[in-house]
Amino acid sequence: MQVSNSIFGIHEQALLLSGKRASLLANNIANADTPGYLAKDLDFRAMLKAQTLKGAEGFSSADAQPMDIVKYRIPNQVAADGNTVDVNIEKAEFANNTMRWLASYTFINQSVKSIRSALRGD
Amino acid sequence: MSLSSIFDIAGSGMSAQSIRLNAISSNIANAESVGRTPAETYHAKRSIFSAIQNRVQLGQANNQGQGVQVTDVVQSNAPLQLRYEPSHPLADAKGYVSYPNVNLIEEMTDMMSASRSMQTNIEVLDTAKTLMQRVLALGQ
Repeated sequence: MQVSNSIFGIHEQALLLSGKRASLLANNIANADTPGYLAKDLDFRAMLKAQTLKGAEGFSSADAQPMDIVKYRIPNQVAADGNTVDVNIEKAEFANNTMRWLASYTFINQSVKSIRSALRGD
Repeated sequence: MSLSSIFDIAGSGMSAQSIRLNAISSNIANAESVGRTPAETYHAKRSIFSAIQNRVQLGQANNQGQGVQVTDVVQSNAPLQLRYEPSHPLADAKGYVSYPNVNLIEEMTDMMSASRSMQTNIEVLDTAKTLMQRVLALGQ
């Protein structure tokens, strides 16, 4: 546990969180035509901070159930049926979140590769 | 792993949009289907969407939606179009035939909206699939 924390750093939590955020944004997009649906998003910074603090206190990432800080998005314009999803914003956020996910993934992947090459010794 | 829940969410969105498209195509196909009585005449169908919610409240753990569902397909209660066609075999005593309350322009715009939503859901699904494939290739 201590080892994996020190090797992957913040990216282990960041990867899990951006996965969560991706499913939240996917849910907003799926409900783009649902009357009265309010778009949700999570406070990434606050959640990542909470997660890393938890990790530092010695909980493993598996049993640290994340305290979800999910908030409603402030809409630019509410649809006539009360729906606050703006598909363009959600798509942009989804693409942004995907890039963040890939960034964290790349860092983790590089760490795994370094460990492997260290173990092989070649 | 919450990435895998995207498959369910986007899948539910696609299935809901396809039900909506189904209703729209039925409306367009039956735009001229008259009946013997106004009650027998085809009425436009509308699908009702609602979000699938988890058991917990906002601000608590695991507060993530589970996609969208079609709770009901209802008949539109807009008035039927009455057309004066005395020679029509189904005309009433005054010579009026009641045609369905289907507005083709409305149906076409609804269809475009549904197909755009379907596309967006497919894109989300595709992205999730790519990310999952990356996870499977971790460390290689």
